[in-house]
Formats: sequence, structure tokens, C-alpha cells
Amino acid sequence: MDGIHDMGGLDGFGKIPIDHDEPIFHAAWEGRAIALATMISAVEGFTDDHYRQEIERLAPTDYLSATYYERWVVAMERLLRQAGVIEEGESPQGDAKPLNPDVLLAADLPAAISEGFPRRMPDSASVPRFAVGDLVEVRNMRSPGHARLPRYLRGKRGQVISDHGLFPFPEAVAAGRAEAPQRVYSVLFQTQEVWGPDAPSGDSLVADLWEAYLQAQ
Amino acid sequence: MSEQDHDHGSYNEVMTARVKALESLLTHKGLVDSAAVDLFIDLYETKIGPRNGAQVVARAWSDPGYKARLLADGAKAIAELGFSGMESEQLVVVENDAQTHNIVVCTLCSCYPWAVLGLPPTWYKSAPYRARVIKEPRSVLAEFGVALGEGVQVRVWDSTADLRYFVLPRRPEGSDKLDEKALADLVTRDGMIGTALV
Repeated sequence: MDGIHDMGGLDGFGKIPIDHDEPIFHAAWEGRAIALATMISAVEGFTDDHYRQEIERLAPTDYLSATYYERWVVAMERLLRQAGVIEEGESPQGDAKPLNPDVLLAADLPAAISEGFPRRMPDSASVPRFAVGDLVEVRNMRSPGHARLPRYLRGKRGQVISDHGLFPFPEAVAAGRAEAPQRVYSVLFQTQEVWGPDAPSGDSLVADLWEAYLQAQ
Repeated sequence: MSEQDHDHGSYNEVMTARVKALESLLTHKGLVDSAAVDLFIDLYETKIGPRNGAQVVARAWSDPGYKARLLADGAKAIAELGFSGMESEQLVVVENDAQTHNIVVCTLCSCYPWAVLGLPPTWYKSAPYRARVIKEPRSVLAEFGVALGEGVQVRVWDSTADLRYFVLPRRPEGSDKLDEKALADLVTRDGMIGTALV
């Protein structure tokens, strides 16, 4: 979706809020929020794609005025309500339930963090459409839901510099469909191609793009 | 609701209550282990942070074989030093040199290499950084007080997919005699994102 989250190149945001001494969390609730979001995802099967989609659905003014971790809280609450896990305004009733077997326990957490959640999929059976060195053009694609194609790249011409293998297609995952794996390529763009002739010549940018986002030049 | 609409105190009070209510509900339903929540916070506040990345950089500066492995497969190479996993499962390391200065962003959200840098700073996740660095990196670098050498070109890496990016800064002049520990002390978090030279 062409949401406010897709902000690469937007003007008017002003100075960067640099704070060299800031704590990891400005308030304790921030830490609890990100930890909770990570933990509940393991049980409920929420992926980053699901979180991002909910965050991207915030109205532009809400997105911009919410703090970073507040967006996570909103997304988590919405995902849990959509999944029927919690209801609006619900509070704990009756006896506490026993721990769900999928819950990540403290003892298991360090190993879970060290393993992470690798998303790359086996690719021996897949035939890549593009090779390193190929000249490509970003398709003029619009998706109604979650996507990972920044607006600033539509129609721009670049060169494939890496083939990273197969990854689940975020649009499919966020829409609740099967993973629909596609190859992801790093594509190199000259700054002037993207931002026009007044941009510094020689500067460049790279974005990682799913195969569906690209066509041959 | 925003931090600007109310003073920080009352905003944080409201959010504290909101998150506490959610955690209580989920705990009551047996869906979360609060001790795991406590530990997650502790790990990212005290253990998993830029000192990890600094060790990787120092090793790469000291050992050409390690540097080659790091540039070929970042995730595999950082695992040699015991770093791995969440938000760095697929890691690409980009090297600054005399011709190129690299800088990393996630214009669409906040993707960041947690295993080597910990959690991202507020500025990295901010609208000004995300909007501006992809279009005017030199202006952003100036705000960070970074002056690039003559003829150095800038390459911005937008973390739009599942790859996470990490900058290998240039080894400072005059650091030849330093051991790995001293070298690691030279490396800053911002140097590994690209908003500092080292």
C-alpha cells in the first residue's frame, strides 16, 4: 500500500533527533512491549510481515504522531483481536490458564534468540529469472496490502548485484496466503537515476527486491 | 495520543498501564512467560549490543582471512565469534574504503542487525532519518558531523527485505600496533551504521 510508512525521499521532516546518550528503552513499557510482541509471535505464528501490515494500516497522522513502540503495541493488540485471542476491553476472568506448550520460557530464550527466525528457503529447485549483472527496471506495481517495494523505486533502472535466494513473499504472508517464495535480489541504482540530475553523480543506493518487483530493461 | 500531546510523564503512565494490562491478560491466558519477557529486556539492555559488532570489526581488521569470510557471508562469520540469530539471520557486511562510504537505513520501517548492534537508536527509526538519508545522505552525514574525503562516493543500503546490513568501517590511521581489544574500543555504533567514519 502507498502508505505514509513508505517515506524514503519525503521532504519536510527536518533534523534528525540524534541523542548519543539515550537509554535502550526510554521507559520500561517499551521493553515490555517489544519483548511481549516477540514472545506472542512464537505462540500465535505472527511474522514481521503481519506486524508491519498492521502498523502500515495506521492512518498517516496516527502513524506519525505515535511513538515507535506504541505502533508495536497497537499492531500487537490488533493481531491478537483478529486472531480471536483477546477481545476489546477484556480483563482476566476466572483461573489463570496453564502455560501453552508453545510458549517460549526464559530458559529457552537465549537459544531462541541465537537461532533467530531464518526466513531463507531452500532454492535448489528454483530457477532465478535474473543473474548478477542483469539490467532491470522496477515495475510500476501497486499492492493494496503490505508490500516491500518503496515508491521511490517505481520505474527506476538498476543492476542486479546479488541473488540472495528464496524468501517468503511478504505480500502473500501478510494476506494470509501460503508463503509463495521468490528470489530476492540486491539491485544497485545510481542516485541520479532515482533522484534526478541534480543529485551527486557517482553516489548510489541499493535495495533488496523480490523478483515480482522487477522486469528486464 | 502522542508524546507531544501530553507531557512525557502522563504519556508513559498511559502506555505503562496499557502494556501492563495486555501482559496480564496474556499471562492469565497462559500465552506468555513473564520471566522470558524480563530476560528479553535484560539481554537487549546489557548483553546484545554494539560491542558485539565492534569485536567483529576488530577481528576483520586484524585477520584478512576473517575479513574475507565476513564479506562473503556475514551471518556465518559473526557466528564464529558467537554472535547469531534474531534480526541477523541473513547478514550482509559492506566495507568502507577510499572510494566508497556506506550507510544503512530501513526506509519502510526499522530493520537493523540486532545480533551485532542490539536494538536500533531512536534516530535510526525516525522519520527524518528514514526519509532523508536515502535521498540526501551527505546532508545527513553533515548533521552527524561526518566529513567525507575528496572523491569519496556514498552508497546507501535500504534494508527492504530479510537481509540485514552492517558497515565495516575503515581502520583508522596509526592503529597498526593496537591489539584486537584496543581496536574494538575504537569502533562506535554509528560507525557500523555509517553515520560515523569509525
